[in-house]
Amino acid sequence: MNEHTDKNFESRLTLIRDQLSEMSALIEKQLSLAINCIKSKESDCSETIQRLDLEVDQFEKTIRDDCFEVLTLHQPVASDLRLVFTALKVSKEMERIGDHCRGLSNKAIKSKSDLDPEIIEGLTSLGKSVLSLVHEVFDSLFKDNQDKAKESWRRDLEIDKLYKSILKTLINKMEQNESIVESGTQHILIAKSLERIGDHAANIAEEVIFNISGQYLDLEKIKIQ
Amino acid sequence: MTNIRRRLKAERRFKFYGQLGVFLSLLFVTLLMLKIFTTGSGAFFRTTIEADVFFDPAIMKVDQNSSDKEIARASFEALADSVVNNNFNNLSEDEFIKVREIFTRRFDYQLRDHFLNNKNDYNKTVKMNITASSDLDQIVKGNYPRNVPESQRKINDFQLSILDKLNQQERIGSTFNFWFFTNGDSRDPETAGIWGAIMGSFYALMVCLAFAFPIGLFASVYLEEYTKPGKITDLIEVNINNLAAVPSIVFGLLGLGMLIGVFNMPFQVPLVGGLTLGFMTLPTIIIACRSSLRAVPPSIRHGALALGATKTQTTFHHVVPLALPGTLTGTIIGMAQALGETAPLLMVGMVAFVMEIPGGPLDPATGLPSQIYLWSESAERGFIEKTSAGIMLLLLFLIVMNLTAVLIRRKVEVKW
Amino acid sequence: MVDNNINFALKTNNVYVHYGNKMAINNVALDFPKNEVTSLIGPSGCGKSTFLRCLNRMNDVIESCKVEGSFIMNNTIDIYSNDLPIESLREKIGMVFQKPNPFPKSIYENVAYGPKIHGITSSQSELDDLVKDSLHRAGLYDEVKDRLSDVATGLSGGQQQRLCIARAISIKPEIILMDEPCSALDPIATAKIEELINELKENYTIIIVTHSMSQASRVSSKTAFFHLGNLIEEGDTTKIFTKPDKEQTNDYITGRFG
Repeated sequence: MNEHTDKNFESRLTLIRDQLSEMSALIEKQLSLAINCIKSKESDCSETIQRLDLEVDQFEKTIRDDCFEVLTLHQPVASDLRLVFTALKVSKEMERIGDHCRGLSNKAIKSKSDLDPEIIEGLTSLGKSVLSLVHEVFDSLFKDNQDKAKESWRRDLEIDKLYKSILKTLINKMEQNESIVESGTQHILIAKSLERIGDHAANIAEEVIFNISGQYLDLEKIKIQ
Repeated sequence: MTNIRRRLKAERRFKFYGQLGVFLSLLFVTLLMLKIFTTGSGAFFRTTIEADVFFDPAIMKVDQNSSDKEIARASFEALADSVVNNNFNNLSEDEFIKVREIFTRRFDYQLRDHFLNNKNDYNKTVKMNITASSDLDQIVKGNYPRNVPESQRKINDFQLSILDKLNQQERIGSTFNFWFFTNGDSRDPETAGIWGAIMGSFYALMVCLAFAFPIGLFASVYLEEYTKPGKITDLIEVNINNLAAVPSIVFGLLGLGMLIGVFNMPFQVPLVGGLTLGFMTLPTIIIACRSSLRAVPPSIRHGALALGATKTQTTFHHVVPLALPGTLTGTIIGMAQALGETAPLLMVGMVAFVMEIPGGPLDPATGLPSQIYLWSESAERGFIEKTSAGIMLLLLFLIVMNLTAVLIRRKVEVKW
Repeated sequence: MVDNNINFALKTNNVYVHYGNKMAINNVALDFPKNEVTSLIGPSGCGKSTFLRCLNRMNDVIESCKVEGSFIMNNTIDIYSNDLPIESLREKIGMVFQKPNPFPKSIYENVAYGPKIHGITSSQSELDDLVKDSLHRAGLYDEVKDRLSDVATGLSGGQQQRLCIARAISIKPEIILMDEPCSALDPIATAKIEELINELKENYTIIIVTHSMSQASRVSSKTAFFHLGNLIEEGDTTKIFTKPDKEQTNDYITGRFG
C-alpha cells in the first residue's frame, strides 16, 4: 500500500498498529507466565503478572483514545476505518485475556500443591494449547492472514472439548475425595479461565476476518461444512 | 539603511515627475481653453443700434391685414432706407451710404421679421435694436484697432464719428446673439449662425449610426460567436483592426469614388457624408462589440445551452444584451470621433458655403468641423470669434458624448 | 452490474473521448439506475467531468472533442442519434454547473426562460405556477417569494445554486447532471443542497461529479471511481467505502494518492 498523503494520519495509524503489536506481546508473555504458575506456584510470578496487567490496561486505554481521535479528526474510510474498528475491538478482547491471566495466576497460587499430577498435567496441556491458539490468532492479525484466522476459530472448538474433558475428570475426582473439593474448585476455575481465553481469541479471529474482508462471516456455517 | 533611503528617494522623484506631467498637461489644456473661450465668447453677443422705426404706410407695400406669405415676399429695403433718413438728419448721399453701412446688410430682413410678428405696429413708431454691421461690431468689441490711419481700417472716420455720437446718446447696445444658434451660414459675419452646420452634422451622424451600428453589431456577433477560429478569421480580425487606424481621408476618397462615382449619389449631402463616416466608424464599433462579447463569461452561454436553447437563442437572448452596454459605449465614442472628422466630409463636398438649413439627409449641407474650417479661412475679422465659438460648441458636444459613454459604462459595471 | 430488476435511466457502453490526439476517456461502460443518485469520484483530470458532459452532449461545444460509444436513455433513445435534436435532449437531461451561473435577469425570468423557449406552458398563469413549483422543489421559494423580480445575481452563493437547480427542473427533465455543485459553497449551503438532492431523487435521476469523498458517501447510493480516463471500479456506495474491490480505489478514497 502506498503511503498516506497526510503524514499525521499515517503516523497515527502506524502508532495504533504498533501499540496493538506491543500489547499482543505482553499478553502472550502474561499467558505464558500464568501457565507456568499452574505448575510452579511461586508467589513472585503472580507479582510479575500483576505488573504486566497494569501495562496491558494502560495500552487498552491508549489505543481506545487514539482510535477515537483518529475517527474524530480524520474520518477514515475503507481499510483505515476497518483498522481502527478492529483495533478498538481487539484491544478490548486482549484486555479481557489479561484479566483472565491475572485471575488464573492468583488461583493457581492459592490452591495447595497436593493435587493429582494428572490434573496439573491436563491444565498445563490445556494452557499450552490456548497459548498456541492465541499466538496463531495474533499472527493472523498482524500478517493479514484470513485462512489462519479461520483455522484459529476452529481450534477454539478443540479447546472447548479439552476443557470439557478436564472438567469431567475433576468432577469425578472431587466426587471420590471430599478433601480436595476446595482446591479442585480452584482448578475448575483455572480451567474455565483458560477456556474463556480461548473464546476471546476466537472473537479476535472474527475481527481479523472483518478487517481483511470487510464482512463478518457466519463461521458456524463454515464449521458445519 | 542607505538602500531604503535611496529607494524612497527614487519613489518621491518618480511621484514628482508624474505630478509634473499632470500639471503641465492641465496647464496646456487650461491655456487652450482660455484662448478659445476669450476669442469665442464675443460671438455670443452682437452690437445693436437703437433706432426709431416708423412703419410708414406710404412706403410699405403690405399692411397689418396682409398674409404672412405676402409679407415674407415683400421688400423692406425702402423702409430700411427711410429709417436711416429718419434717425440721421441731413445726410449727403455719400454720408447716407456710409451710415447705411454701419447697419447690417440684413436690415430689411430684421424689419420684415419684426413686422411678421407685430403686424399691429403698422403706422406706428417703435424703438428697435437693429443689428450693427460686422465691422462696427468688431470696432465696438475692440477687435479692430482705432488708432491706425483710415486707409488701414474697415471703418472710415465719418462712421467713427457717427459711432461716437451714438455712444454718447447711449444708443449702442449689446444683445445676446441667439442668431448664432438659429441661423445658417452667411456672407455677413454678424448674421452668420451655426445651426445649418449642426443640422448637417446631425443628419450625417444619424445616417452613420443607422448604417454602421446594425452592420457592426451583426458582423461582430457572427465573427465572435459563429465562426470557428482559423486562418480566415484571424485574417479578417487583423484587417478590421488595421482599418480602425486608416487615415480618415482615405474613407473620404472611398466615399467620393464609390458612392458618388459609381453609385451616382448626390454631392454634398449628409446621406453621402453619413455613409462615408459610417465606413470609418464601422471598425471601431466592431472592435468595441467584439471585445464586449468576449467579456461575457462562457458560463452564461453554457447555462443557456444546457437548458436547451439554440445557439441563436443563446446569443441574442443572453450574450448580446450583456454585450450591448459595452458596444454602445464604443459606438458613442465612435460617433464622437465621426462628429469631429473633417477630411471625409471634405471629399464628398460637405464643406462648401451653404446658407439654407438642411431639412433632411438629402439636402445640401455642411458639417460642424467643415463650417469651422470655412470660417477660419474667411477674410472678414468678424468670423474669427465665430470660429472659436464654433470650436467651443464642437468641444461641448464631444465632452457630452464622451461623458454619456462614461456614465453608461459605470452604470453597467455595477450590475455585473 | 447486470441486474434485471433495476430500471436504468441511462446506459453507456464503449465510451471513448478524445481531445485531438489526447485520450480523455478510455472504454468506459457505466449504467445509471433510475431515481437514484450516482456519484463520480476521482482525482483531478481523471475524466469524470468530461464523461458527465458527454451525457448531455455539452462536449459538442468544444471543437476538438470527439465522442464515441453508445449512450442509451430509458432503453430506447440513442442520445447521439442524428434524429434527436440537441435541444430536445437537453430538455430531458439538465445540468447544474460548478460555479452558480444564473442569468443576470430577475429570479422569475431565470426560471421561466427554459419553459418559454420550449413552449411548455400555454398561458401566463400556467407559467407562473410552473415557476412557483420549480422554486418550491428547489427549496428556494420561501426565501424569494416576495422578490421574484429582483435580479438573480443579488442572491447568496447557495441561493444562486438552488436557483440554477430550479431553472434546470423547470423544464421537467428526467435526469439531472451536477458537476461539483457545492465546490463553491460554504458548509451550510452545501448541506442544504445535499438535502435537496436527497429529496429530488424521488422524481429525478441524479448523476453528480464530486471531489469530496465524504459528499459522495453522504449523498449517493452508487459510486463510480475514475482514474486517468478509466473506470476503475463502480458499485454500491457502502461497499466502496467499506471494502472496495480494487486496491487503487482503496488508495484513492483513503487518501493514499491523488
